[in-house]
Amino acid sequence: MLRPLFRCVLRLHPPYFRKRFAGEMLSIFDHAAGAWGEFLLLIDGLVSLARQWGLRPEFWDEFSPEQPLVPDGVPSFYTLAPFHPRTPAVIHGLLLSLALFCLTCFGIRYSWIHILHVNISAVQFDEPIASQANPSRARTTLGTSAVLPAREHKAPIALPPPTRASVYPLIAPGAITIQERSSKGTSKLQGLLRLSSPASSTGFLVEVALQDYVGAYVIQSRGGLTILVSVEGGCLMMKVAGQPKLALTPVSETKFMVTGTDDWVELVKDENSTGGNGIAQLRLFQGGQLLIAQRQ
Amino acid sequence: MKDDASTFLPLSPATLHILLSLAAEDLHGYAIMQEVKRQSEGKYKLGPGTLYDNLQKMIQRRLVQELGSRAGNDDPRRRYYRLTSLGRGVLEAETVRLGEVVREARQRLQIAKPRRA
Repeated sequence: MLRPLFRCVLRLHPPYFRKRFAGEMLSIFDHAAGAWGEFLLLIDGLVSLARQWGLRPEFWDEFSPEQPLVPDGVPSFYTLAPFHPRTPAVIHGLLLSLALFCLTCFGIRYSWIHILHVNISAVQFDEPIASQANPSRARTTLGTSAVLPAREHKAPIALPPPTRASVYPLIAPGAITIQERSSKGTSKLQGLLRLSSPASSTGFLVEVALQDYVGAYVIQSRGGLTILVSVEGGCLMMKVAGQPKLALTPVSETKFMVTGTDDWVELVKDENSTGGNGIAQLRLFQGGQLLIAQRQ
Repeated sequence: MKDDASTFLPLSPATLHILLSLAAEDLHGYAIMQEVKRQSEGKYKLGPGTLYDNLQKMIQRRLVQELGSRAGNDDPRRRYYRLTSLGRGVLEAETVRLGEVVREARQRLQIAKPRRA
């Protein structure tokens, strides 16, 4: 009665073990005396089944006897093809791989945070320009806890209070350009920009001559539409006929974002031009369109 | 050869008994089980699962050689096994090691034995 069950247990053994030893084990079972003896052999078969699958992965497939050794004790040829790692080794490898994966993920995340908090500069105004007492000497700060992007501004002049989430990605290169210009010295001081390191609150002052940009610019392709550029409260302002006055936020020495919009302005120098310190042209990038205005 | 044999020591009880049973003559699995039972006077019973698991390892290590089945009236499912020269060397080395263990144990037991007045 237990013989079919014992045969089933033998069939469940790994292929190579079954092929090689199942017949002999069944032969031994046939010699067993009495039901109790058969039952003990069945238990032994079950233990063997667990042992072969759990502890003997190297014998799951057909193995070749160990390679003969050459006299110096080194195998003449060795291959990993029939190799099966031990179960504890597989578990250890799994745990090690998991730990390395977690460490790598942590490292990548730390790297991202590190870049965001340290390497990106931004602009911050110490105080709202509109509330400054001395309009001829405005102070602005460049730093991490900076200004909201231009598209989030609705008020044309007043800038929002500093927040850590808002960053101007283009401000750092422009700020360096301004610094180089200031080192040469400018005579027409209208505003002060302060660059600060994100890691520290200390900053340094940079002078910018905003007065050079002041003037009237005419777009001939729009029927002589005039754009007036002025300086108010240390801030560059732009006024188009029939529209409210808009503040221009510097992103470089010659490029300015139009506050409250996605538009931006570039003031182009002309070496042949004599007035306005060489500024001869205003380029307005509006809605993907380029409008060129010549200085009057 | 002796250095090779020493790398297999100490042997497990099952391996020792199987090698010992094959030392005299070639045997098939069931005969090995009966021989082990006889050697240990019935105190150590080797099941077929344990027997063939050990035989499998011993064949791979070249301690035992498989001969196949024999012609005649014998059960064709039975396969015979023979001790190799390496297996014999291992058995001798283990016998020497066990002899030293037994000698050491006897000496210590002799010392620990209380003296009679």
